[in-house]
Amino acid sequence: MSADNIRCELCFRFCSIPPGGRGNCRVRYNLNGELVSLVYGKPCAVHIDPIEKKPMFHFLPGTRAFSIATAGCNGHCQFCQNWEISQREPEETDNIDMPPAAVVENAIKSGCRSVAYTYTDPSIFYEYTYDSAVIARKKGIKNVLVTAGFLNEKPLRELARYADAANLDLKGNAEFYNKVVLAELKPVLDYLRIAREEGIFIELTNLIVPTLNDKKEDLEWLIKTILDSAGPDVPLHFSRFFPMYKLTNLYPTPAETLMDAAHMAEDMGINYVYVGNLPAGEFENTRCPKCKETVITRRGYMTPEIKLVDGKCPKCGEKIPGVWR
Amino acid sequence: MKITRKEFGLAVLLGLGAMFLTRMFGKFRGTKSSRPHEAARHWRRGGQLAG
Ligand code: SF4
Repeated sequence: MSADNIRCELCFRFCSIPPGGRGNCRVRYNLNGELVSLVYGKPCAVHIDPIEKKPMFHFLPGTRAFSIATAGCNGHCQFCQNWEISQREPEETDNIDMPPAAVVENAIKSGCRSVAYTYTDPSIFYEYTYDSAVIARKKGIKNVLVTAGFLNEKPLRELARYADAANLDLKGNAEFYNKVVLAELKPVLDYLRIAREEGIFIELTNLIVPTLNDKKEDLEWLIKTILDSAGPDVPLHFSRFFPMYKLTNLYPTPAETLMDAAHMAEDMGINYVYVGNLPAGEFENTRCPKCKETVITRRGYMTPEIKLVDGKCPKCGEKIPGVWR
Repeated sequence: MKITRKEFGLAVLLGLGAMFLTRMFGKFRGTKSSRPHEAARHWRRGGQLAG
């Protein structure tokens, strides 16, 4: 590394950035020897979303999340569903000014119970996330990270003091990460372990991409890895892929593949399995693993019925893991 | 019935006016399930983003 380069230690890439250059994520810049964020307080997407869209099914169901993202990403999934903002320089997106205090103020004004740092990986807009999360916590608003899990240990442990929950993508095995995500698997598994140690409530998402991570052995590996590293109680969402970015040659994931994966996960012992981006009947609802009572009914992003009582099944009293208030 | 140019013009104007009023003051701005925050209303892809 040349003397003038700066090493960014936020994520597993540890970019060595030359003067006037940017990191792999396109938003961290070496300005005369100082590492600066080009997107602090400048989100390119601001939405009021149902929390179910993140997807978070065991976290304040039926509430809204004030959702923000900036341009750029440290992952480069060839199937990225948000590539128009994630694979862009901040100069190429339509950004607005919204400093952390305004994020929280707007969240409160619009009746949101949480702020979600989402759409692109929040590790690349770390300082913006952190400062917003600190203010949100003070004002009684919860913080949700929707992430690919590339953040390094030290910044993650610091952020964890203010993060309430995370939806973490576990996209596939090591080969899939190398070839299709152009990243690495290990940081993601580390993230999962550290986030759990720090008490962040975790849900996992796996986007099933036809021909690339949809084989029986791929899914078996995924489910086993989850059971080994997080146990049977971590909610798992299988999500439907739509042809996007560099994989427009593929077809959308067939409903059958998603349902088969969900059944397999259930059979192998995962207690809360969901299917997303598809009307999926029983796999949209939360059922008590003990007595099979439906405790939360969902239709798309709506939750017409929440029967939980103090986070417990109303029929048999089984505790359902989650953040319920 | 024959519609005169004047009547046609008036109908178009009324339609546009109604659309404008609904957008500015209506109860159904954006979709219920996912809508851009008003500060970012120029961001038109709405809830199409994943996550
Ligand atoms: S956050 Fe960006 S600049 Fe920093 S190491 Fe990761 S990719 Fe590189």
